Amino acid sequence: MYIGKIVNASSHVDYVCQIYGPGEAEQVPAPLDYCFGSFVGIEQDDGEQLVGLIANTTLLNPEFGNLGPRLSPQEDLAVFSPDYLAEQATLVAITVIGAIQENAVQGVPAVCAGIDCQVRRLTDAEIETFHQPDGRFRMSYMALLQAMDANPLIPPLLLQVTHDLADRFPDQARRLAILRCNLAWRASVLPAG
Amino acid sequence: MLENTPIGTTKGPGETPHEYVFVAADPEQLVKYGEFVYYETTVEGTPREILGRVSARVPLRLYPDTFLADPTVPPQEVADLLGYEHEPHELFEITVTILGYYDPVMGFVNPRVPPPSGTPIMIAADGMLSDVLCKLGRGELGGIHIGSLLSRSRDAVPIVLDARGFTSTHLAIIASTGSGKSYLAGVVLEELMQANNRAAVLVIDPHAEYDTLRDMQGHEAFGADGYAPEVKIVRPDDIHVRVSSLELADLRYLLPNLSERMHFLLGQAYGRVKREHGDKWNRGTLKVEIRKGLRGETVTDPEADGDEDPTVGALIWRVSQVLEQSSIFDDNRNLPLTSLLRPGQCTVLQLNEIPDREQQIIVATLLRRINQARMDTVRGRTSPDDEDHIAYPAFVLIEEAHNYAPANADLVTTGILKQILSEGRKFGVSVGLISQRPGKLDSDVLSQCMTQCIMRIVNPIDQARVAESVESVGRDLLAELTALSKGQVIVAGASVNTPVMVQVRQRLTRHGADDLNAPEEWSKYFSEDALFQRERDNARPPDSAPRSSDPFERLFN
Repeated sequence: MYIGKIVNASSHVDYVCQIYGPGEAEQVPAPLDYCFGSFVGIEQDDGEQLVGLIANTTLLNPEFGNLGPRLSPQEDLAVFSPDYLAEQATLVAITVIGAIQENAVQGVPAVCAGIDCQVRRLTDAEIETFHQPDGRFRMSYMALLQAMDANPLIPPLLLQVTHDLADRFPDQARRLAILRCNLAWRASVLPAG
Repeated sequence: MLENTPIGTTKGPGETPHEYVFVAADPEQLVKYGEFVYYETTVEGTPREILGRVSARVPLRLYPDTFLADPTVPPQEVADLLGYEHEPHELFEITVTILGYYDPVMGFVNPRVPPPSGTPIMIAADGMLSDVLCKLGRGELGGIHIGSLLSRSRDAVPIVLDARGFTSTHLAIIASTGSGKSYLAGVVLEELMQANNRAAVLVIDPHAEYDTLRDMQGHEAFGADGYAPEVKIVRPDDIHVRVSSLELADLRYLLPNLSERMHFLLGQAYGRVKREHGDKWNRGTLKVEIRKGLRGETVTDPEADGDEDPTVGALIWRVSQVLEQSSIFDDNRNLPLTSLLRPGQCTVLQLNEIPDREQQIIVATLLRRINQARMDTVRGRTSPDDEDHIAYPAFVLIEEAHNYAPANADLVTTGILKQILSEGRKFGVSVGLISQRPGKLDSDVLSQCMTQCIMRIVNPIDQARVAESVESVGRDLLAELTALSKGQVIVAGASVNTPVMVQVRQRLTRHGADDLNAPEEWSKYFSEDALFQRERDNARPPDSAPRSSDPFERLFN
C-alpha cells in the first residue's frame, strides 16, 4: 500500500515524503500506516527499492498564521477554492537505512531516490528479508542512526525499532534486549540525572 | 554455583600485563573480590583453562545522584517512572589478575597473553579449585587442612597447606589482636598432630593459652592405627636453663647497664671459664673467674670477698642477683631436648610469670641448642644416646614473635632466629612466628617466612610492614586486610599454589585465649547467690553490734 511520494531531501539519506491526501490515492492511508518507526520502501524506476524508517512527522498548513478576516467562510472554500485546501499536507521524514533489489543491503545506499518516487509500507516478509541480508539477522544500520545524535528523536526511534524487531524475530530477543536496555538507559535515565 | 556457564565477557587487557578486564551483569553477585574465574584457550596446541583471581569490581551503570535524593523512594522507581523498565540495570567492569593454567610440575603457568575481547569468562568450579589451589588434599601426608575458600560456601573448597612448605621455609601468622591468630595457630597445631603428620612441635607460649591442646590426647579425631598424639605442657616452674648454655651475649643481656670495666671483667671471666671448663662451667666457677679479676689471681672460694676490687664485687653481686635469685638458671638442669622434641608430640613451653629478659634468654638458648643439635645430628656428630640428639626435624611455633625479633633492637634471640630462618631448612629446624604487631617485627625475619598467614590488620604501620616484607601477596589482596573478619585469613607463599583467602575451620580442641567477659563477671557480683554468700559471710552473732558491710567503713570506725 502506497502512503505517499518523495517531495524533498535534505541529505543523501534524509527524505521528505508527502502523505497522500483525499483524491491522490485509491486508498487514503490511515495515520497508523505512516506511524513513527515504520519501515517503508521508496520505489525506484529500475525496480530497486530504498528502505527507510519514518523518523519524524510534520504538518503543512498555509493558513497557519493568517489571522485576518476572509472573504469566504471556511466551509465555502471547498466550493470556491478547492485547490487551496489541497495545499494542506502531512509530511514524514524518512531516513534511508538500506536497499532491496536482488539482495538486501543495509547502510547507506549508493543511489538516491527521485522526486515523486512512491513510498509504501514494507510487508512483514520484506522486513524479514531486509534484516537477514546473508541469511543471518543483522542491524548494521544502527551505527548510521546513532551517529545522528543531534536529533532528539533518534533514541526513541531506536527503542521503537528494537522493540518491533524483538516481536518479529523472537530468536533474537536476548540480543535485542541488550541493545534495548542500553538504549533505554541512555535515553530515559541518564538525561533525567 | 554455575559451572561452565559464562558469567561475563572479556572487555580487554587490564592496566598491567597480567590483568584483564571483563564485563558482567552478575545479578546473583557471584563475582566477589578474590573469587576465581577462568577462560578457555589453547596454549601451544593444548586446550587450557586459564585461572585468574578477581581483584577489582567497578560498576558501569549507576543511577544518577539526583535519583537518590529521597531515601524512601528507591531509584528503580524513579527510573521506572521515566520508562526504564529493563532489569537488571547493573553492569560491572571486573579486573582479573591472571594466575595461568595449572601444571602439576610447574604450578601456575601464565600464558603471557590476555584473552581476546569477547572471550567468555566462567566461575571456576569447586572441584577445579580444590585440585589447583592446594598442593595436597585433606588427610594426605603433609596436608594441613586449615579451612575453606572464603568466596565459596563453607567447606566447598577445602584449603590444605603443604606442611613441607612451612616446615622448611618457615611460617608467619600475623594479625591484629582478636582476629583469631592464636585460633589459627591452634588449627595448624591440631593438623600437625594428626595421624597423617605426627610432627615434632615445640610451642613457645608466653600467655599460657595453648594448654587446651591437651584435649588432643584421647580425642577420637586424632587417633589412627594405634597412634595418639602426646601433648606435654612445661610449666614455668619446670623450665630450667643450665648456665653453661649461656653465651657471653646472654650474660650481658641479663646484666644491663654494666660499666665498661664490668663488661671487660665479665668478658675476661667468661673467656677463662669457657677455656678451663668447656661446657661444664657453673655459677660458682664463673664467679671464681670474675673474682680473679683482671690479673687472674688465684681464687678458689667463689664467696670470698677479701679486699677485692669494688668493680669485681659489684659485678659478682649482679651476677648472683640474676643467676641465683631466679629459679630458671641452674648449674646442672636443662630442658632435655630429646623429651621436648619427639614426633607425635606437641610440647607447650609456658613462659607466663617469667620476666621478659629471662623469657628471651630461655628462647635464645633453646633455639640455639635445637639448631646445634640438629646440625650435629645431621652431620653425624652425635649418637642417639647423646643428650642433644634430635633425630627428626623440629617445628618451633613462637607466640608474640615481635618480643624475640623486634624491628629496632638486637636482642639475644634475634641472631639465632635469623640463623634458623636462613639455614634451618638444611638441618630440619623451622619456626612459625606469630605476631600481632608486624610493624614491630624485624623485617628480615618476617620476609624470610615463606608461608604467610595474614589476618585482619588495621594499623597502617603494620600494613606497610606486611606490604614491604611479604612479596607473594599482591596489592589487591593486601587491600583486603582491613575488610577481613575474625577467622578469615589470607594465605600465601610456599605452602599453597597461589594466595588464597580462607575461612578458618572450627577447632577440634577448645580455644584457650577467649576474652574475659568483664560486664558478665561484674554482674555476677550482684547475683542472688553472691548477695546471699556475702550476707552469710558478714553475719555477726545476734548479741553483737551491727557491722557495716563496707570494708572501708569497718577499717576507719
